[in-house]
Amino acid sequence: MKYAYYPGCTIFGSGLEYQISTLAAAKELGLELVDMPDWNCCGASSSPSHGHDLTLALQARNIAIAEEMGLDILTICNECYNNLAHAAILFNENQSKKDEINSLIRDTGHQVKGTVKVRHLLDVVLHDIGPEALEKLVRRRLTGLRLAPYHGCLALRPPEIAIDSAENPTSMNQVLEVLGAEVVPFDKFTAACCGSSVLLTQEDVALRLSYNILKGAKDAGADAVVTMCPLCHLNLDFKQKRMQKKFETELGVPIIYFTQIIGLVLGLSSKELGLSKNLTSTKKVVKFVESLPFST
Amino acid sequence: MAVSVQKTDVVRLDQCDPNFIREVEEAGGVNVQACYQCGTCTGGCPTVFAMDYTPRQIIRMVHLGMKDEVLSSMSIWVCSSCYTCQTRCPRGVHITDVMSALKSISIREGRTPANPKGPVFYKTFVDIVEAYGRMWELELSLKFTNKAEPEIPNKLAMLLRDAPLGLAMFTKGKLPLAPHKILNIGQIRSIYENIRAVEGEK
Ligand code: SF4
Ligand code: SF4
Repeated sequence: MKYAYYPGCTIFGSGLEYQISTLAAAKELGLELVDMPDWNCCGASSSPSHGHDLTLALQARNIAIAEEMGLDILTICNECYNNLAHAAILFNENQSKKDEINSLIRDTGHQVKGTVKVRHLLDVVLHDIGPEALEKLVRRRLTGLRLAPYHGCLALRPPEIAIDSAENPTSMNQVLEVLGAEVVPFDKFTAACCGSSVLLTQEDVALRLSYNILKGAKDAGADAVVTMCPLCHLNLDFKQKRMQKKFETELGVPIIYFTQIIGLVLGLSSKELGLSKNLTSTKKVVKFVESLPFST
Repeated sequence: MAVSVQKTDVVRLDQCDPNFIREVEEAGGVNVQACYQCGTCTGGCPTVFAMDYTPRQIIRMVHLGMKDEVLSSMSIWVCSSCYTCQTRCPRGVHITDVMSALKSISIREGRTPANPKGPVFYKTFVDIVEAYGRMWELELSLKFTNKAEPEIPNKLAMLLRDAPLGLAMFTKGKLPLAPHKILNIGQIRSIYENIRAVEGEK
């Protein structure tokens, strides 16, 4: 299983541990992630200021690079996924829009043909690897670990690009269950918006939405919230202290990438998975997992 | 929350712009005319508590051509682009895309927004991508704070408030002090130039 790997800009900064754990886990999972040469930003929040064509043109250069590699794109960020998948579908289906955007990127030396698919890593784990193969790789089952699976918005909506049901997604639940974890009741929050896109412009709104999610996890008795997007992760983890202050509630909920959880189950060390880079301490979870026996 | 614009419940037909709906469609607002005002969008909107007009009202105001009211609303900047409304709309209205289109029309026309931080954020974002081909979080947050808080005491207060978080990120190696610029930055700049040329023709 070979993909053109599009990591997205957060890997250099706030999403560092997502990158570390993705690369480490992919190796164990048998996924070959080939670097996309000189990939550019997906333009996450670009469309309001230059119209949608800039966003599409930024995707087009990346999509063309993947086409030149002859591989489908694999991304780990919900926002990158949403932007790239939207554009790929549009280019594959709409010849005139493709021509228009190809004209905008004519001086880059790249042109989109409209042949690649865009995938999210969670979807690849669940459908390309599959639960049975994943189960065979499990070295220690997470018996007794209570996890809240958080899918977020942009890999589920709108329907054209959804990897799962928009209202009742279960992709992450399925993966965590294969790993032997106890999935806490979290249906009300798993696809709720964390507000990360308005974090800088409307901080009060973003904090309120994220707080609801973390409170939901805490009330459900979760040991950690499991994420699949560096922007959701940043919001829930990085801003957690601020939420505690604003809403005068002790939270202290570890926010852990699903790749870190998978890595632990496959027998990788917390260091190999960047688990000290998460802002809210993950020590308790790591200690618990490390106390679990390896299967023989 | 401070909402700077007087909310209206009167429709002044003489001040409505019949071309507005076309403009919104051209900027990406697919099927906006198909709305039958059921309110499903509003019912599921996670940020409606901070809006001055609900998503359903915004769509109706677009129909009526209430351009000034819509573009000076808080709602368009509060929307977090979660796509819940667009996914649920029984009429296939691309409501999230309408909200984005409204932001872009507001910025293009240089309107005074109800939330001045909105345009500052989006412009800062695209400028950084033009400069490096990739996002650089440190510059985004510093430039944003600098421009979004024109008063010096507020600027300093914000920087001071954010400093401990920044330091925590830095010590974990998550706050690089230089951008990870792409090699062929000229390619990205050419895209921006071509976009500007097309925008200029319109
Ligand atoms: S859900 Fe769709 S049809 Fe119903 S009010 Fe909203 S935009 Fe109109
Ligand atoms: S996309 Fe915007 S308007 Fe629609 S439900 Fe989400 S926040 Fe509300």
